Amino acid sequence: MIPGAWSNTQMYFVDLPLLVVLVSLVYSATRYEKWSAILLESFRWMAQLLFFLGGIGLLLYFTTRV
Amino acid sequence: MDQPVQTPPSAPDAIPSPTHVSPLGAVLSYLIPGLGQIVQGRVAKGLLFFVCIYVLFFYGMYLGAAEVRVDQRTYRMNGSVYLPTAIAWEKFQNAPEARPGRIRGLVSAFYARPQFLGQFWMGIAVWPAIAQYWTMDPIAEAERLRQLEDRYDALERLKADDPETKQVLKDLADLEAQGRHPTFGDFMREPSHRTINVVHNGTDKRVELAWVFTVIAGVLNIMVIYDAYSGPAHRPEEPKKPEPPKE
Repeated sequence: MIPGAWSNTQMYFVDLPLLVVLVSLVYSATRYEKWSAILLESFRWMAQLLFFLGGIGLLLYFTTRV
Repeated sequence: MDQPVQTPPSAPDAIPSPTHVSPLGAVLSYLIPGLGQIVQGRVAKGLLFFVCIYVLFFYGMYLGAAEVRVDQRTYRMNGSVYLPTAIAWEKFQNAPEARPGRIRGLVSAFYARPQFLGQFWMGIAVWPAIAQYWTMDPIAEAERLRQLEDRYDALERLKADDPETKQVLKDLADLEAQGRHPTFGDFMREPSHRTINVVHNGTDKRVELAWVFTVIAGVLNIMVIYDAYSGPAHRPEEPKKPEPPKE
């Protein structure tokens, strides 16, 4: 574990992308057999997840600033 | 003159039924993510599942392995995967005759740690936690944890140069070593209350992420198991049968 101030940065730039990429890949691979379809679906899911999480992040950011 | 052959109207598009189910594939993918797909010949896909799910799971284990030093003692957690044992039996301390057996005790264990319901689907990777639960003596474990708390409290009252400190630290080390699994030691063993509190308060919030990663890995493997059992949700298009020539 990397302690200290860098751990928050690591959470956003290592933990979160790792989770999003791996979940999208596995989920898409369970839905399709062809690699082109798997990769296309996984990119779609990555975009959806990041958009959704980013939206929630922005909402939390602005509500905590008020 | 012959009447032209009327071809019947085509049936409405129907969802194709599974052409093949594979219980063996499902069991293999439960044991090791992706193994069922590899045995079925879908090697690349199986390897993808194997790598992705195990990376998620072991990264979660890495996040949950933390240690904190407080006063003269190091408190260590070796991961976020464990099946609570003594915690589930604590409420029966005053009524030991009411203690359930290990199987009925699983209900209390899952209530105390519902995360294990998701982690369970990782298969072999979490069997050490099940082995720790199964081989533990609940009465002896409850007594051991009580004595641990007693020694922790004693240590808090002592200073580093106190003559009793060495004996208390030795008692703590002996109590920690008690009841260790002969093969797995402390791996996936339930940590004490004090250890959980000290580690969670003494580290950052990434320790909380640890169980999230392992649970997500386990739940994803449920989908992998189903993929091995009956194939992907959307099957590749089958080649169309040639239509009979119209006369």
